[in-house]
Parts: sequence; C-alpha cells; structure tokens
Amino acid sequence: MLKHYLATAIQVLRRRKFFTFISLFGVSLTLVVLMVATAVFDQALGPQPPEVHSDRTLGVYSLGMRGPSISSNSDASYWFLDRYVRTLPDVEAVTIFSQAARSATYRDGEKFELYLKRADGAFWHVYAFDFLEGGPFLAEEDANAERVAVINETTRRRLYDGESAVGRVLEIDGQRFKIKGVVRDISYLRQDPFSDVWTPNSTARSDVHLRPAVLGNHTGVILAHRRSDFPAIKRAFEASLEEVELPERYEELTGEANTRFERFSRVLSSDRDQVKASPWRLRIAIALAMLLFMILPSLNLVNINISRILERASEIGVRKAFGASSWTLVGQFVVENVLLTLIGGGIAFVLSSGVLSLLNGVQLVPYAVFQLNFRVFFYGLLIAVIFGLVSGVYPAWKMSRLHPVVALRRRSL
Amino acid sequence: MIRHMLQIVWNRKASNALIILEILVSFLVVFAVVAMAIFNWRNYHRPLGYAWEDVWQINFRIGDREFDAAERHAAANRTLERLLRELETMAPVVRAAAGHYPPYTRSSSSRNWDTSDGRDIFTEIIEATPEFFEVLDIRIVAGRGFEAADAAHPWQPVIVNRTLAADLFGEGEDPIGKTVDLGNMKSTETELRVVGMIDDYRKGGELAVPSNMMFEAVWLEPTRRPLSLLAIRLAPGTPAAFEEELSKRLNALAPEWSFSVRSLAAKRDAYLRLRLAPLLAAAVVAAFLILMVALGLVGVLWQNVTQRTLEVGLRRAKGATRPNIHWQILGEMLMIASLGLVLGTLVVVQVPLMGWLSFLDLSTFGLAFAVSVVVIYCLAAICSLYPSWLAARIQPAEALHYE
Amino acid sequence: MIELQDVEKIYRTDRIETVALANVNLEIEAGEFVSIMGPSGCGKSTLLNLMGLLDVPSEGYVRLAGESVESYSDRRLSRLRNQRIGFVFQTFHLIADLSVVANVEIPLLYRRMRGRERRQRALAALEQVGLSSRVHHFPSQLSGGQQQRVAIARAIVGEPDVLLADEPTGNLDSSMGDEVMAMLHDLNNRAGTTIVMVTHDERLAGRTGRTLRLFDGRQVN
Repeated sequence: MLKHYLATAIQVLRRRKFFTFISLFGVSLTLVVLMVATAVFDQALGPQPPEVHSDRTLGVYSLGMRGPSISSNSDASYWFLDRYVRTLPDVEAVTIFSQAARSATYRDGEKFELYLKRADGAFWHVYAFDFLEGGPFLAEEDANAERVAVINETTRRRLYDGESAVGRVLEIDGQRFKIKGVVRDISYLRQDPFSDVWTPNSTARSDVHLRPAVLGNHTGVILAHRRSDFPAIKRAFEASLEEVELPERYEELTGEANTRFERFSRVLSSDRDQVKASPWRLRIAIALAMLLFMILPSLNLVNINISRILERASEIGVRKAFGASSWTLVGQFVVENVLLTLIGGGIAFVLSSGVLSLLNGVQLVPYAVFQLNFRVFFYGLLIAVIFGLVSGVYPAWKMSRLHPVVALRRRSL
Repeated sequence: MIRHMLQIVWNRKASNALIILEILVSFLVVFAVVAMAIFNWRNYHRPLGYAWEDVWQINFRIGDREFDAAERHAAANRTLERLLRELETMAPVVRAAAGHYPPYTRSSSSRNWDTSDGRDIFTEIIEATPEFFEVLDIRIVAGRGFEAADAAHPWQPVIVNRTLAADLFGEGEDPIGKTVDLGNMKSTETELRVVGMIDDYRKGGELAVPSNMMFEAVWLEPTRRPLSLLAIRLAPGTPAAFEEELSKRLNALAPEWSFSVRSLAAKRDAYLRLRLAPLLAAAVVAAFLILMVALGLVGVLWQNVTQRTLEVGLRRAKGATRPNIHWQILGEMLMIASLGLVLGTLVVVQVPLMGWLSFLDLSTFGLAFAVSVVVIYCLAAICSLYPSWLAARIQPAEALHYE
Repeated sequence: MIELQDVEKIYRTDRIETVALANVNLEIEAGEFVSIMGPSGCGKSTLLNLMGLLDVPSEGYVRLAGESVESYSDRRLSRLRNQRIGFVFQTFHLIADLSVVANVEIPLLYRRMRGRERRQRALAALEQVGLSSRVHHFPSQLSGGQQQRVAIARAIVGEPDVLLADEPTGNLDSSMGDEVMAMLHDLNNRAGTTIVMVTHDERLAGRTGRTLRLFDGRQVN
C-alpha cells in the first residue's frame, strides 16, 4: 500500500514539474531556515565537546540579594563559590572560573585582542578539552599561583604562526604566563568553557577574588555523579544559601543550581527578577516560534495543493468507486505531502550545510562551527514531518470529501 | 465591472479564502520588515550627538561593590585622579575624562519619577567628570558645561538633552538655571539644577532608539563611589601601536587594577555588525518567503485558468477581447489582494491602538503601511501576468471542445 | 442481486430542483446482462451511480445482494463497492500517473492483500483482456480500445458480482466497441457476472438479456 502511494506520489511529482518546483522551493526554503536555527541552538545547547558531561552538570550562574529598599543581581563571587559550592557533598567535581574578559597582548606594536578566563584544576576535568599539544594546568599550580596558561589553536596561529607554543611566554593583561598547553577552539556560544587563554584563578591581578563578598563575576559548575543526584544537590545548595552572612541592608539571598537549558531559558526570559528557571516556557516558546514561522509556507503549500485537487478529481473518483474510503484517501494524500516535504528536507539539508559554512566563514560568532550532525538531522526530519502534516492534512481532507459522482464527471487531464 | 469581479471572487469564496489569508500573512511579513527597515534607517540618520573618531575607552576593574569600605573608595578615587593627570601628560592624549556608560554600550542606569503635577518622567542618568564632554565632543547648545566651581554648590548641576528638557519644562522653554521637579522625591534627593543643554548623546549607537539623557557632574571626592570608565581623546592619526604603550603605562601606574583599552571605532564596527546581521538575515528570509508566495500564487492562478477554460472560452465566444480577459484575471487577483489587505489593515491598526511597539512613531508606521500595500499590489499584479496571458490565449473553440 | 424500490433522486441547488429519477422500481437477478437506454439527461447515469453505491437516493431503497445500504457508513459502503462492484466508464478514467498494471491493481489495493499476490492477479486480469504485453506502459501510450480493455481488467480484477458499465463503447470506433462488447458477453457467460450497461446504441442493447428504457427520469416499459 505504502509502496503504491509512494510510486504514485513520485509519478505525480515527475509529471507536474512546475508545481513540484514551486512546492519544493517553498518547503526547502522553510526547512533551511528552521534547520539553520536548530544548528545554532544545538551549537549553544547540545552536548558537544568540551561539554560532554553537560547532562551531569549544574551551574551556579547568578545570585540575587534583596533588602527592603535595594536589590542586586549578579554573578557569584569566587569567595562565595569556594566556600559554599566547592563544599557540596556527594559530587564528582566542582570547578570555579571567571567570565572570559577581553584582554590584550601586543607583539611588535600590533594589538591582539584575546579573551582571558581564570579557572582551576577541576575545570579540565569537568570539560573535556581536546589538547593539540601540552596539557592543562593542575590544581597545585592554581594553589601556588604559578603563572601558567593554556591557549587555543587560533591564538597559537595568530601569535606564533601555528608553531609549537608550549614553553613560550605570553604577556597578557600586564602579566607573563608560561604556556602549558594548546586546545582546539571553543565556540563563543559555549559561554562556560569559552575563552582564548585560560590561566589559574590565583593569578588574578588583584586579590579581589579572595575578599569575602557574595556577588562577583565567577561561575561555579558542579559535576554530579549521575543525573538523578540533581534534586539532592539543588536542595543542598539552596540550604547553604541560608548560612551566608549578608552585607548590611540585605535580608535575603536567592539562587539556583541550574542545568544549561534552565539557565538559557532564564537568560531569554524578559523577566529580570525571575530567579526560578522555567525551561518548559522556553520549549513552548521555541515550538511556537517555529510554528509561527511555518504559517506562511504552510498556507502557500496548502493553496498549491488545493488548487490541484480538481486536477486529480478523476483519480479521486476512480479510487472511491473501487472502494477507497475517505480516510484511506486522506492517508494517501498526507503520505504524498510528507514525502514531498521529506524530499524538500533532503534538499534543505544540503543547502543548510552551505548556509552554515557561509556563517562559519564570516565568523559572526567567534569560533562557532555550526554544523549539521545527527541530532540536527533528527530534529530537521521531525520538523519536516510536522511541516508535511500541517500543510497536508487540510488539503487531503478536502480532497477526500469530493463526491465521487462529481469527481468522475470531470474530464481527466 | 468591479461589481462583476467582486461577484466572481465572492462566488469562489471557499477557494479564495485561503489565498486571501496567504495575502494577509504576506502583508504582515512585508509590513514588519519594511517598518523595521524604515525605523532603523531613520535612527541611523539621526545625529549621534558625539564623535567617536579618535576616542578610546579604558575599562578597569577595582573590586567588589557591596563590601567597599570608605577608605577603599577614597583610595580608588585617588588612583583615578592620578591616572587622569598622568594620561593627559602623554603626548597623543588630548583630553582624559572619567565617567560611566560610553557610547555603544547597552547597560545603563535610569530614573523614573512623577513630577508634582503628575507627569511621568523617564531619563537615563550618566555620571561624568566635566572633561567627558570635551573627550566625546558633545556640543553644549545652551547654557554651559560643568565647571570646577560647581563642586562648591549645595545643588547638583546637571546637563540635559533636548528631549528631556522638553519633557521637564515644556517644548521651547529655556531649561537653563531651572530646578528639576522631582515631585515627592524632593525631600530625600539633592536638588538638581540644569546648567546646560546638549542636542543628544545616543549612547546606544546609530541604531538605538532616542532616549532622554541627563548628565550629572562628578568630582573625584573621596567618599564618592568610584566611576567605572576612563575615556581619552587622542590627536588625529595616533597609531594603534600607542595602545601597547598606554597599556604598559596604566599597568605600571596601578598594578592592582586590571585594564582593557578599546577604540570606539572598533566598538562601533563590532556593534554595527552585530546589530545589522540579524536585521539583514530577517530581510533575506522575508524576501525568500515573498518569492515563495509569488511562485505559489502563479501556480494557483495558472491552475485556476486551466480549470476555467470553458468559462473563458464562452466569454471569448460572446465577444470579450483578449485585453478584456487579461484585465479580468488581473482584476480578480487585485480584488483578492484588496480583500487580504483590508483584513491586514485591520490587524495592523491594532498595533498602535493597543499601544504595542510604541517606539514606532506614526509617520514610520504610515510610511511602512503605504510601502507594504504597494509591494503587495505589485506582487499580485506580477503573479497574474503569466496566467492572464495564458487565459487570453484561449480560443472560443477550445471551450466547446472541452465538454 | 440489485433491487431498487420506489427510488427517487432529486438534485437541489438554491434556486432549482431537478428531478433526475422518479418512482423507479427494478430488480436485477444474479447473472443477468441488462442494458439501460434512453435519451441524454434521462437519468441513466444517475441510476447507475445509485446501483454502484456512489450516490444515495433522495427517497426509496437500494439493496445490493440482499443488503439494505441506506444506513451504511462511508467505510462500509466503500468496502461493499470494493468487494462486489466493478466499474467501466465511457472516458476510461485511468489514472494517468500510474502504469497499466498499477491501474489494474487499484481495487485490490483496498483489500488486505500482499503486494505479490496483487501483482499476480492484476497480470492475470490483463492477460484475460489480452494486454499482457503492455503492462508497464502508461495510459497515454495506449489507444482508446486498449485503454478501455485496461479499464475492464481493472473492473474484473477483484472478481466482483456486479459490473456497471457507463457507455463503455461511447468513445470507441465500432470495431473496438465490438471487441469490448465481446469481452463483456464472455464475462457474463463464463464467470456469471451480473452486468448493467448504459448505452445509446440500440444494436448493442439488443444483444443483452433485457433492456430497460428511461425517459425523463421515469421507467418506460
């Protein structure tokens, strides 16, 4: 049955070239946009290296302090994280690092802008970096404030023309660091591990990070033994907030240990005061945005399909006369439309990879390598099928309702 | 004739409804893109109020905010003062200032209050040393800039932009020397007195929405919360290589602090790229969507013409000329487009009525509306060219052959 | 086999009512070969559509093989058509997008049947109408007579009890028409299929077992 439907569909597509072209044009265009969007999302949120453990990590990204007449929201301080997050029980590892800050290094009067992140020894365990040469700095080196650094591939190319960099000295932010390792580039969209240069927390220019303050500009990421530990860890963290001594005028401290997705949904949420993350709202918002974008292409495809009903009236009449029920016909036309969108999906897949390599080429987002992987392919397929159903069901239903007597009266074309 | 066409369109309402809906949605898409384009175009061509050429900004980090003790404030302000002095001794530096919120920055602080006669006032607040205006070449159009003597006043001298002056004191009123009406905050806050007026300071950059601005003068008194930024104006043609030297000098002057130097030119470049890319992407996607709709409409109309061979043939047999047929197909399409546009207008007028997108002023809105209507009519006309030509070629005899 | 009782069919538009059939009573036994004659617009095709369960009467009853079908759902009617009735149309109504053999397979498609068996039976039906050599052609590559033979193969592939033919020779020249007629007679004689055929041609009607005459929607005897 399915084989027959597909054979019919392919013949229909082959014989009506203009219609096939305009249908496929619309379908692939729509799917290209959606697939590119999916690839960007995947780049930001999917479990890609170095965040291979992202299904087991929770991050403390922001804290809120409130008092009767004042409130502050910010990242946490090193002191707070060191004292209240690093001590959480029953976790595999905790890493504390600063946000990547824009810094500069100069060579022969030429300026190179580099992002600099201060991190600790556990950082290299939580994130699986791909080392091209050398290795990470160690926890002891952080403890001893040794001036060592890890740089990325692009920095090695820019500063040392791609020659081996381990052992060289890099002067950045007014400090001199010995390079210990070179890693592959990390996309800017991966905000937690992202940087150009990584150095130990303890090498910070001032001892600001050691002062007792709640708010600062560090992030703490917890690697749990397993995902099922999340609720316990979250509870333990929230309980520890109670113990924190707050500065004058503040009475309440709020914060959460969030998964990446939860955090992302909070960043996108316009409600600044909302400390609770709501990933479901984000999921629904994304789905709605995608459906909204599909409206015009769907209407277009629906109109094309409907205008072709009369062309195939005779076929509908014959099939009904020989025993096809209305539902059988709905099935057939929906299958045809889904096939069409799947072909469009295939074309879109090829085009998307072109668009993405173009995006990668202009480097709009530093080090972002947008690519189509199996996950994106799977989502693309899903989107194509949904699109096929959305745009196919109404015309199919309308076709199937055509009265056989009326249908057979039409001249076959 | 129009009535006749309307009747035909009405009789085929079931099959036309979806096409009308498609026109409606296309219109909304075109309108959104055109409105955004006009809006950004107009903003881009508004005067910025400052000059970004040859200006560098120096960000620095000194420490955490909430535990800052009085002596640390004092120390930080002493260092700042020293840095400003030292900067101006460097050869390429024309002027140095300290402040908050340089151009091409998204973060801001703002104030919102009700005046004693109940008017709602909103303004962004920027604290800066008097030299800030010179560094960024912000022209004082009335009154004067901040002066050292202002430090002695019991009131806080402020400089406002034109739109804020109009909000505070009324259009065309001279704001100089007037006190800002703080309503019921009067008792707790320092008196603000306007000493000067500027055209504008569009901190958000070329594409930003104009906003009210108020500068508060800052002197680096020991008790003051330290500022977060240094800005310097350089002699024209200062080489980028000076940055290395500058950086070294700064690090040496304040070893505890962390500095990052950037030219406004570089910031502006990055800013425009980042802001224009999504707009461009949206425009390209919208253009493709409209092309898709156009192809779809050609297909649908073509199919319609084939289905209506009999009708068209009969019309020809009854004496309709080819141009008659041409105009009929075209007219019907334009009629359908008009119906879509009427519905689209109903949707679009909700935007200002409901107060959405309030940053779109009426003239931008009107222009965008007019352009979108023209675009949709052109689209409809172009799409019916080929099908109407096909229809006009139908011979009367074909109609008879058909049945 | 087919029984019509007090059947009336009225077409209504918002302004006009057209009586297509009025007061038709008729019974067709299994194995009969009946022809229906009458001038254009007398209701012949409407009558055939009612017998084929493609349309429902405004008044009265239609029974097929003893089953009263007036309360049947779309699905049950479809199944009944599929299993008991075969159609042959004046304009052949072959699906242009499908090959000859795929066209013939259509009635079997709506039964639960394996693809291989479907293909075998379709090929057998095509052999019966003498078109074994054209199975992979498309309808547009065949002559009118060949197309109608494909249509007959399609109508008989499901071994229906009843074959309804609406002017099967109307679009064919006389030698091709004779060929088609011979095939129908053969089917009636050998397989015992009940055949109802609408025709204009007195000569063809004369060769059937019984002729029914219609005039303005009424039976004329």
